[in-house]
Amino acid sequence: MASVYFSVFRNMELSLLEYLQTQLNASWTGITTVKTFKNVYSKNVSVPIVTARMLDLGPETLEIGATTLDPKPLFSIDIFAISQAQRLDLAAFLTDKLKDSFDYQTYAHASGDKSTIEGTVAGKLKVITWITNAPLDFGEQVEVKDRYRHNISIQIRKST
Amino acid sequence: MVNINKSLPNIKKILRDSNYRTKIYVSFASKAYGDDYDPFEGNSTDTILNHKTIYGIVSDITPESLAWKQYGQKAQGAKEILCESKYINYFEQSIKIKIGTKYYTTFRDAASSRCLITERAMGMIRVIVQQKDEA
Repeated sequence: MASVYFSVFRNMELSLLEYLQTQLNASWTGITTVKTFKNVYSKNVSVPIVTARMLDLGPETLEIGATTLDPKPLFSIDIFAISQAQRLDLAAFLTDKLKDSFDYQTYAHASGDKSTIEGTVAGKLKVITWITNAPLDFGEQVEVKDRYRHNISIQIRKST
Repeated sequence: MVNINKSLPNIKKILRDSNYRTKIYVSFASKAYGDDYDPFEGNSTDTILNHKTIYGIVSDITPESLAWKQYGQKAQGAKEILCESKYINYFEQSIKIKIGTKYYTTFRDAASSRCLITERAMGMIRVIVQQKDEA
């Protein structure tokens, strides 16, 4: 049952990740795109890394008195760069790419192969609020991967 | 002149001799992808397959020899395995190594620091593994 496993929020997160991955792979080399911090701090992955994850589902009712929900989730995009210069470049690049709307896709596992997922375009996603776009400074004694961190927090709305 | 790339029949004979050889149980795993699998998370699970048994000459390594010969190696519970080089992939790909009743670190979960594979002459490899606390 694909609808149980690929909810609208998971599809939005996957759509954002796939969009970022496609844009980064087209213009940069060696950037890893992952979803969770568990993958970031894994010894198998080295910086530069970009993560995108949903922080707050935040649905609102579409109309007063209606039961239809209008998903407006809050996303956090974290950049783990190798230098201050790369941190700024990556932040500027992602900001530029996120200002455009991008495809919302509904995902499902490929037929007979659960190791891959396939998306079908089913609308558009648009950044409606820019909440944060700033570096994160953890001081002197930090994990190597946390030396050049940047966070972009955005609220995204799906076209209905 | 001895060709060091060829194996010595005497070594093969010793490896077949049950007085010297020790059984080493090597387990592999296949990846299983559940309904919640996500390529961005890589949240697959490993299904451990039946072990394969190989033979090698296993000896304990003393703390002194490890400290002097291999920097960074843990001192206690280490074993040295001498076996045929055709098993090098077994040690590189396995997820469990069992000798006797104890489990040892594999190359996959402890690359270079707690599992050392060295190719030796005569078609042999020398593998140093260290005892794991858990199975």
